[in-house]
Amino acid sequence: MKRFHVAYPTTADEAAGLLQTDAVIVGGGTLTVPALTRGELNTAHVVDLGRLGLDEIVPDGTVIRLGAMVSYQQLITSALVAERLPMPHRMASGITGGIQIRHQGTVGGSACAARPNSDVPAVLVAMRAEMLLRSPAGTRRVPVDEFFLGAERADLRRGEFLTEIAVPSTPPGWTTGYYKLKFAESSWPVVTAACVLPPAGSAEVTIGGVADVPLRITLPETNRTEHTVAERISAIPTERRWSDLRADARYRARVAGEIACRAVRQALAARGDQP
Amino acid sequence: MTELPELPLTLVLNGKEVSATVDADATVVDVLREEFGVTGVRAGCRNGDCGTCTALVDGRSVKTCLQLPGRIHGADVQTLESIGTPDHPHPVQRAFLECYSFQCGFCLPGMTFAAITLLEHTPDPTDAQIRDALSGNLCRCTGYENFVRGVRRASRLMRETAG
Amino acid sequence: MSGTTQPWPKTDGFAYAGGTASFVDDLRPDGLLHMAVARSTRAHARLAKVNTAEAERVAGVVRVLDGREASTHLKPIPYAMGDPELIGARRGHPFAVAVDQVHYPGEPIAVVVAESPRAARAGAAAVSGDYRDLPDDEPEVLAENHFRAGDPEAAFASAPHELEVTFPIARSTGAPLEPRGYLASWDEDTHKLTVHASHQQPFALRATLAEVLGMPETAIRVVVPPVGGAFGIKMAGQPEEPLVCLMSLLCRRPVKWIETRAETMLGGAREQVHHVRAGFDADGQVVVFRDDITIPVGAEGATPGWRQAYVTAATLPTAYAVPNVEIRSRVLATHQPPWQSCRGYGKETAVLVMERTMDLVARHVGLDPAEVRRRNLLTTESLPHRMPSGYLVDSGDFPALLTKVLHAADYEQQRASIVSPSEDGLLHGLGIAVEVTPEGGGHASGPLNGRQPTAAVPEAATVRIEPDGRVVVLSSVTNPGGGNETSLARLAAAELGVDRGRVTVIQGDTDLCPPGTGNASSRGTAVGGAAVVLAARDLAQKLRETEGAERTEALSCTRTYRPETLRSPQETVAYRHSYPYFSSGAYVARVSVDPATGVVRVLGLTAVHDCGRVIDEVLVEGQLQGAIAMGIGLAVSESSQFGADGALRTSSFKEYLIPRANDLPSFTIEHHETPAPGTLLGAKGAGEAGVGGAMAAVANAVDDALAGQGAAVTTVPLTPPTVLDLLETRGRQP
Repeated sequence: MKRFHVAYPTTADEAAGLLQTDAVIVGGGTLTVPALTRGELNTAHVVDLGRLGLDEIVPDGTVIRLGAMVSYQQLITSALVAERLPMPHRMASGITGGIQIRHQGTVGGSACAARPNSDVPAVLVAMRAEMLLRSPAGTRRVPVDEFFLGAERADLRRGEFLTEIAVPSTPPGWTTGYYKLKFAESSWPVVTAACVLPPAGSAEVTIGGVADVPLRITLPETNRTEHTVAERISAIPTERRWSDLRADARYRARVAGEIACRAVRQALAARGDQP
Repeated sequence: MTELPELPLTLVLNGKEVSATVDADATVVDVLREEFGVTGVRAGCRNGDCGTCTALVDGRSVKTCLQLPGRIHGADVQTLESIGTPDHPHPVQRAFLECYSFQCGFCLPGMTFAAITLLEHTPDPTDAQIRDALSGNLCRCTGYENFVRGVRRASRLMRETAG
Repeated sequence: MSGTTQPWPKTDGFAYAGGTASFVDDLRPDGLLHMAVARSTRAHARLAKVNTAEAERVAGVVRVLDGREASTHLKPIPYAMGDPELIGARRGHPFAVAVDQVHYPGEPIAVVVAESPRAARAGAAAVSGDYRDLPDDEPEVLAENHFRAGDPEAAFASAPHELEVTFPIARSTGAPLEPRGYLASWDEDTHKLTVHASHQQPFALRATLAEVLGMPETAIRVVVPPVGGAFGIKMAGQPEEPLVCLMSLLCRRPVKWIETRAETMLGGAREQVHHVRAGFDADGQVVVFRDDITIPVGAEGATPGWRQAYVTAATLPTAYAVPNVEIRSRVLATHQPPWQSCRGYGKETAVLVMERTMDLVARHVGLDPAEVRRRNLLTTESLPHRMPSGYLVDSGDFPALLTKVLHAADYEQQRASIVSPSEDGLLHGLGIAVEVTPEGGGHASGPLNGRQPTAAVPEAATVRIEPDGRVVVLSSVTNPGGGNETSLARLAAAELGVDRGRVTVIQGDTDLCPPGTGNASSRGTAVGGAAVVLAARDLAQKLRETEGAERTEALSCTRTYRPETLRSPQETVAYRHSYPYFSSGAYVARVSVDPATGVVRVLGLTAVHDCGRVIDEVLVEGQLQGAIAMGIGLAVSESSQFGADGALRTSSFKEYLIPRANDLPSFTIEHHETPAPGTLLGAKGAGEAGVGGAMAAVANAVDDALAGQGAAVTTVPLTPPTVLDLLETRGRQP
């Protein structure tokens, strides 16, 4: 457990320069600061992005650009997000830890932490978001499908940091659903499901907490969701199945179909269909 | 011996401007307590779970164990000490006292600010809304029962005053 | 708000509401140093060497001390609650720091003192040990207990029905919001050591420190500032207590140690496996109960923690009149962190096992669980009742409690109206529990038979009136946060006929207060309050005698009080003193279970509580509410888990799941008062009761919800994977 220095860059260029060392990046701080306090993250240099801004929510044609430091509470209170990104809006409303964590936790930070069972990764995969990464070499755009490499492993190279997440708006006529299984109010999510339902064509459901990265599954028939999800999960290689203290891989596989169905039913209900 | 990482800091704390040079790798809860003698924030878990370190930073309720000290440089910080006096307690404080809401009192920074924030936006909350609003803070003494009653009472007190 | 009237129940409440109350970590004397503890990363190993050089180089570190050096200064830690032989246990010699062997992951191997808490932690992290792992060994038997009544063998031979079931119960912990913490200040000039401690037992701590440090008790003052919850873990015998004092002596500066959350979570208790066999007739009358219990209590420690194992065994068969009983328990030392005392103190697991057994009997004979309980409960005519262990159930009215709680919970109506599964697919269940809680101190038990007698421990109080009429109460009992000072003030005020606002209560200072036990075994009001009443009565008498005379000096009276050691009228043999009163309670829980995920939600909880005479209803209910919440947590989510390497995996509140406000329903609480015959005020305890009752009622309700769909509930916590496993196991076992 080392003592460490902290830099508070005020521009993206400055931040990019500072990150050329082996620095730990602090965004919202909800994961990194306790890890530093306990000595689970050991570093001599910390870069805190708190003075960088990066907390704007900006519409840009058919996408909404979320600055990497946008908090859950901003998603909740933004009328734009409520209207055009209903699934992320619903996800943010279910974040645990009270108003303080909704103020402090960031969508970008959760994405970079890439925890398989966290709310954000599966939602971003479901929404087919695009990640904007900044480094001294410039800006790199990474589709979210390629961003999550494994459990707690995101495609962030040394010196790179996330500046923005571009999330396609949910088009009129499309509906979505989000369901999270957790064991108690204190618990991390265990299995999550995020459903996107187009007016025509196949629905998709993205499952978090079952594999090391979110799984997006096409549902040719929504009344066979459980079956389709089970088939896809049975194909996950053993080493890529996710388990943690809360539940083993077997439990997750057992409940995933039902959790997916609950998200799908929400999307169907939002469309006015009898689920 | 290597040089200790330090950070000069100025902020407005409970209405007064204060300055100090602090350990850069401390957290805000440490700085408020060790440098500025604040007792109205406490370190119960240092993991963002219990809420005992809650303060208002620029009007937003935050868990100060999750912040490095630079985050409050130039900020306006309010802690539990600032919201009422024995003769003029904040309605939430008064209601908590009258309803025997708390026992050991360790959890009060989070509970009090959670109640205040709730009642600002939702003056007449349901029990379910109260329980959700308190859920960012842990209490091990009370089972929350009397906190729920306390927030209900505070809601009445505040509406009576406002009305 | 100032003046003499008290507008709210809690004396001195605004200091808390306003955030100015000083907990131990708020104390920062000049020259303060901070201590951190380096801990073993191994479960069972030779400790060849502790490497401290790197820690000594960390900026700000002042002093590092390993076990070898500590052993030249410190003696072994004495047992905090009487000799272990009293409860059939062998004597060990727990030492504060590992010297040449480690026994559990988390055992202290060195301490580091530094100028800031961060430097101390960085220093502790830089300490390493040279370990040589030792092979797995057979767990050592710390104690064996055997209690027997009637003729169990013959009863089994003739019992028409029988069931056999194993109940494994998880390890769990108290988890107060304020971790443990101590501040030791050695004054070289006066040769006095002052210790501020977030603690339940200031006098026991003083005695312990005197022995470990080799100092006279008169040279030590223990002061307990406001405590942020304790629930058992802040009792004496912890290794850090003498270590922080030693570091102050060595550094000649004040030294403070504040436990980290991960360290707090190392402690725990309650893990046990019960193998129950019960014989009963077709009417659900239980004629014989046998329980073989295995209790792994972690590494041997000096706190009262592992003694809970004895209390579990001795509390069976709880509130029931079972003529033939055999209880055997084996208490094993293992390579987990030592047990700490936890609210309920072993009684809660006895209640769980007995209440599950009653439900299984009911199921077996096809009767309602309430009816089976009615047929088996001890009646008022049979009290006082000597249990097989020698505990004496002093008072209560268990059938009345049951009737009252069923009425309060509208049990018949709920039972009739439950639709399970409901429209939303959830399974619903109702569960009942009857709880007895032996309280008031004295966990050893049994007929004397030439053995060492035990006696009730007294509490003491001084009540003083100042010339200006203000009243000061100095009490030997302490307040862990529940607010017993308010009851003490109320009692003194009533005896003296003054307003409660004129009464100041001082607790937890060994230089000011008369000696006693502090906060343990639910005796703050029943025993500590009685001492206050006696002292206040004496003072009132003195005041009457000097009425009219001008007073220029304070008048004061001191009294001690010990609860009576009761006996059953027909008894011919003498018994040891054991718990002087039993509080009791009955509970009904309503739950839903999501059959697709196994998630349990507690939808309602009703309790009727008998704590004897209620001194202060709001305080008693507050105690019960907290205990019920803890019991629900234990039933559904709380469990301390260790990895294959022995390391704790539940070191934060994100892994060790205690209930939050929106996990819990609103509770309905009613009272039923049967005065305790052995206490002055007729009061019994509050604080421990509720943990076992709520836990058992919820477990029974989950079982009820699963009825016909899965196997019987035999364990807690009932986490979703556990519940789903039960649902997958077709057919009911047993």
